[in-house]
Amino acid sequence: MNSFLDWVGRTPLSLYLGDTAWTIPTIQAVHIMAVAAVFFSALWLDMRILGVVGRGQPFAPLSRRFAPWIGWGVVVLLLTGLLLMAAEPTRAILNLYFQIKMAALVIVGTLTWAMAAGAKADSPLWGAPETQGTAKLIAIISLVLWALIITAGRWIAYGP
Amino acid sequence: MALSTLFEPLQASPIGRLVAESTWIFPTVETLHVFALTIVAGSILVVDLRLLGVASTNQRVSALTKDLLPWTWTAFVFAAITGTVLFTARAADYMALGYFYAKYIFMALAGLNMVIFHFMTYRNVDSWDVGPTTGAAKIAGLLSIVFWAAVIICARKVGFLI
Repeated sequence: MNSFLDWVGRTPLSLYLGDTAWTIPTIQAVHIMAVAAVFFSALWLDMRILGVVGRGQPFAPLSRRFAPWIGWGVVVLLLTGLLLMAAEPTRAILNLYFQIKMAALVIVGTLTWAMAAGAKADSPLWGAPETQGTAKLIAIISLVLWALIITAGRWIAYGP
Repeated sequence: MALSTLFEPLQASPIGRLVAESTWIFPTVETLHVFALTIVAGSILVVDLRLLGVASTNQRVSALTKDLLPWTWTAFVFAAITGTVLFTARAADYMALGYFYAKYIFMALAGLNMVIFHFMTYRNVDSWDVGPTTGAAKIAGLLSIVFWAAVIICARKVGFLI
C-alpha cells in the first residue's frame, strides 16, 4: 500500500498539483460547492420525509427534482476528491477520518438510491413518507450519515 | 499603520489564544461553519435555479422562497457566529489577506443583488410566479450564483493560505 501511495505521489499529476499554488484551493472550492448542493438536496428531501417542510407537496416530484443533484453531485465530489488525494496520497487514504467518511458514504449512497428508486416506482413507502415509520427512520439515518461525512471530511486535515 | 495591526490585540486576547491553541475548538467550530455555509449556499442555489427556470419550475417562486429563506437566514446567522469565533484565532493574519477582503466584497455584491431583486424585480412576482420568469429575475439568479461561488472560492483560498 505504501509503495503504491509513494508511486502516486511521484506521478506527473501529483507533482503538478503540488507545484501550482492555485490548483488545490480551486479544486477544494469546487468540492465544497458540490457538498453544498448534495447536502442541501439531501437535507431538503429528508426534511420533507420527516414532515418538517413541504407537507402539502407529493414526495415523488420533489425526489425527481433533488435526487439527481445528489447523484451527480457525488460524482463531482468523487472526481475532485480523487484529484485532492492524488496531490497528497498519504494524507487521506491512511487517515482514520477518511476511512469513516468513505464507509458512511457507501451506506448513505445505498439508502439514497433506494429512496429515489422507490419514489420513482411509486412504492407506497414513499407515497406519503411523513406517515411511514420506516421512511422516517431512513431519513434520520441518512441525515446522521451526511453529518458524519461532512464532519469526518473536515477532520481529515487534523486526523491521525 | 496597517489595518491588520489593529486586530493583533484580538488575536492575542485570551479568547483568540484559546481558539488557536485548543486542539479541538478550531476544527469543531470550522465543521459547524461548513454545515452553515452549505445550507446557505445550497438553499440559495435552489432559488437561483428556479429564477433561471432550470429547476423546480413546477413550484411557485413565492412558495419556494417562503419555504427556503428561513433556512437560508438561520444558517447565515450561524455561519456569521461561527465565522467570528474562527476569526479571533488569527484575526490580524486574516486582516492582512486580500482574499479575506475579496470574500466580503463579493458577499456585499450578493447582498446588493438580493436587495435590488427584492425591492424591484420581486414586486410584480404575481405576473411570473408560475411558469417562465422575467429577464430581470434570470439576471438576479445568475448574478447570485456567480457572487456566492466567488465568496466560496475566496473563503477557501483564505483557509488554504492561513
